[in-house]
Amino acid sequence: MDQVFLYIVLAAMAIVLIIDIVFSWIIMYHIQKYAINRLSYGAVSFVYITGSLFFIGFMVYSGISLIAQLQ
Amino acid sequence: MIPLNENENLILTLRRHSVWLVIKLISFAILLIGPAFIFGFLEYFKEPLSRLFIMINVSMLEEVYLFVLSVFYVFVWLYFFVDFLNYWLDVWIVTDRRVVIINQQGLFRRNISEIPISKIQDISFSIHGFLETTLNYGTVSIRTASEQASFKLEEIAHPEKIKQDLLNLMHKAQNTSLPV
Repeated sequence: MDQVFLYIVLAAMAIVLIIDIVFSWIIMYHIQKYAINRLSYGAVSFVYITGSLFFIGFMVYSGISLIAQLQ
Repeated sequence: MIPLNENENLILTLRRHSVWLVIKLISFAILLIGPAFIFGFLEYFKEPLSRLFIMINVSMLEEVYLFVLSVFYVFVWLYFFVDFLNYWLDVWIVTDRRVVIINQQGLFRRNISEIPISKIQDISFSIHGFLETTLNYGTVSIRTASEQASFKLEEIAHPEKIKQDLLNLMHKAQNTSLPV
């Protein structure tokens, strides 16, 4: 049972990562293409990338903790 | 960035009132803090949850909850940022010759309308509700001679002043007949 749960966690992590990468690409495309000026482009990109890395990092960390418990 | 024509001067760049962003930030904070708050009471739900999800070992419940929470946070962040882009990319650009209205709806819909100042027939504004009255924001509408419905800039700060600025530009353009 734990093995099945392990695969579910790994699959969930992979799916969320793929969704995040795709949407991040679309969001960055919008920021880069439609920004009114260079300064706001840099600031908004920085905030988005920092936040995105933080939340993805949190997910990877909690996923690894869970996998470690399962094994 | 909208390219300006020769001798065209940028007068105003308008966005929705920042109260809209504050409301979104508050809902974002609630979505972040709410589920984390539940984490503190997880001890009380251990038994019913472990009966509901037989796959989960009771001792791992906290790790499972943290993982589900982290996945939820990734989506909350994406949702918040898409909402922020709707705010940030919704812009009215007013120059001495035209008004460019950029309306971003979600990630895959973007409307850009352009109205020459000299073609504007009527400008009006409306303020409805307690929050709009106290914080002084509302809707500015521009009507042209064409059959198209009026263009609206919603939740804009100081609508009366914006209306007056646009009227001044309109009168100036009509008097001097600037080329478009």
